[in-house]
Amino acid sequence: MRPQVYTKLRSTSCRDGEQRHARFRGHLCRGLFLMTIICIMFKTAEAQNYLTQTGSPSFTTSQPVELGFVNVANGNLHLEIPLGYFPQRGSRGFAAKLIYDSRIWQVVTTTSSTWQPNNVLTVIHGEAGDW
Amino acid sequence: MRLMRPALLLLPTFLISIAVAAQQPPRRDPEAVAILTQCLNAAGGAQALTAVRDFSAPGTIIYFWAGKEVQGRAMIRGRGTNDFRVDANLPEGTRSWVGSFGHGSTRDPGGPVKAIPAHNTLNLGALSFPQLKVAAVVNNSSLSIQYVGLVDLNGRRTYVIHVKQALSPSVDPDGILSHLTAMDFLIDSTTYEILLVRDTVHPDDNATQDLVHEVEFSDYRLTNSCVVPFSITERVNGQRTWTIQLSAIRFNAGLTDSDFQL
Repeated sequence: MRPQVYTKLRSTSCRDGEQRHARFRGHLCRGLFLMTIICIMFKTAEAQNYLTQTGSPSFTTSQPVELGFVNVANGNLHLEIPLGYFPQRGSRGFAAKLIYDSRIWQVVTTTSSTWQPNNVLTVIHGEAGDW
Repeated sequence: MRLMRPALLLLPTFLISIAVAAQQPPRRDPEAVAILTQCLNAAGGAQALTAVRDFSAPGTIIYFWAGKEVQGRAMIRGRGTNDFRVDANLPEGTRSWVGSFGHGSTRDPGGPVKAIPAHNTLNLGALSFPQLKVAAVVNNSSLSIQYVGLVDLNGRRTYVIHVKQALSPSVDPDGILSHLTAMDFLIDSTTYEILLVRDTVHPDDNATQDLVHEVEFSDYRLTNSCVVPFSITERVNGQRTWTIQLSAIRFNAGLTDSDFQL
């Protein structure tokens, strides 16, 4: 009687152990995969500065004005003047607009202080992320 | 389980790539080093340049402010490749600025001393005397030196040499410091004179947004065994900010720390 019980208990505990092990490996692999993705994505993440955001940022508190709005968090005036809408072959059409943002100027202090726009592309040789 | 194998493969590969990158020595293209050496020879030789511990140079300066040209007398001082100072006697008073590696300050006529953001001070040393920078670059094995190619600059064929600090990912995980110290030297392919040094400056509150900063050199003259540019023009984002025309240059006057404080 006893040996049979032991055998049954042993086989039950083995099955439980295997299941636990399989679950653990499942959690581990998901964790590792997630960590890998986070590690790879981390470098590409960039901080957003609400003071310098233009356009229509997420979670904007805006004051509507004619043809646009003022972002009350940073004072940016955003205007969009529609020029036309042209249906395309796909479901998304083409909307042509003139878009203006007022908050594009920033101070750059080096050998002298200058105001510079933040929407001008720069070219530096051999550096990642250049235009 | 299906994700187990890719995860187990991807993570070690990623971690190993970081470790390998950390161990790699800085890239130093032989062609680029040869061009920089030629440049030093054309400037009087590495020995003559390394003998220059400091320099003082009087001259005139023109600031280009909002379409207005403001002219005055100027005095430039530099020590090694770290410390640099300009004092400009303008009609409204003296405007001064100093830059050392990692810190700098500026004072407008009658105004308080204001700090220059650290990220805009890293390449200010020897601003008017680029051959001193080249001598330091050639002798510094921790810098990466890359030959970019030949380009036309105002009708002259120029070599483009890209230089930056090669820092390990543990010191500079996002490569920001390395990027902030990056510079291009544009060197005439015939005379080996440095025509332009290009780096980046950044908004006061954002070190990661680049604006092109260029310093142009011309009017090279032989002075005390060194060939030195006497005309220097700065541009920020394509906008001319100042031009300095030197009238003389004196070496090794024994400048001290106090000469580089406002």
